[in-house]
Amino acid sequence: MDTAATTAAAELFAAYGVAIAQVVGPGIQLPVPDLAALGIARFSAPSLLGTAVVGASTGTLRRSNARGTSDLDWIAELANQYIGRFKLKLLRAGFELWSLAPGRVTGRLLVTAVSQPQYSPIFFRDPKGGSVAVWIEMEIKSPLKITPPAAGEGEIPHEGDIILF
Amino acid sequence: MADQVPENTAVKKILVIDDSETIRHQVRQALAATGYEIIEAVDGVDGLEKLRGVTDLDMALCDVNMPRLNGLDMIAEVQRSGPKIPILMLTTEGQPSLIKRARESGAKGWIVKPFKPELLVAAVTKLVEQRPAPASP
Repeated sequence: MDTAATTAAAELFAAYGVAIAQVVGPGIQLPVPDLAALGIARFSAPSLLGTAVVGASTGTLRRSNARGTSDLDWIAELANQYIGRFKLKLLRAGFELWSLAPGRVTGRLLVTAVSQPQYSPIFFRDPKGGSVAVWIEMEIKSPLKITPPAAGEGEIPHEGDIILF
Repeated sequence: MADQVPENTAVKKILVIDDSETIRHQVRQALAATGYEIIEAVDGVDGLEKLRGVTDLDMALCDVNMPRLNGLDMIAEVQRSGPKIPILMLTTEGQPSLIKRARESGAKGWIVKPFKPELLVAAVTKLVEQRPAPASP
């Protein structure tokens, strides 16, 4: 699940032309004061409730969105696409999650996260010094059930695929 | 890509239903060369109102996860009482069960974001151009 969470973020930003590299260990700089906006996506499965929070600095956000739409709109869509990628990766491993429409907040509301330095995000830097952070929090009430997709249910598409019926 | 631009399409109207302004902008930009007129809706309720209120729509692109009314519930409602136009889902979702539900509710296709602009144009053009002409009154 950690690999899926990390890869989903790197692939997402790469799809929009920004290469981000994960930073681990002492290289993680907390608090993360330059996060301009946060996208929030809630997800669920039987016995599981979770939230993914995707934050990005202004420069990284704008380098990934050449269209000039608002940072808040874009971070919400990035969170939506992030959880979509995360879910597809888990689905291929036999675990299905469900999600709702994403939300967003400005980075100033990050104080709760940065005040808990023991709770480290998955942290990335881009080559121009921008940052991306992903927090995933899950409440698991009973052992999770992994069920490989049954034959005949249809193939799991990849990002960018178009299926015409 | 120029050979994908159909002739005589200036009056074709495409409804783009997505709660993200950025995605609506991306779709508008991708389809700019087709000459189609783009109308936007910001969620499922707005989309349903425009599907029922704009009488000469030729096609709709529709997100799934949206506030107020999600795209799958919206197209089910359209199937019960709405215009018979092609609807293409444009979403981050990929569960086969959701794709099956969309097909059973009358959707004509499913695109997983992020989309490739040239493939979006090809799919939209195909669905718009294959659509039977409305019956004369």
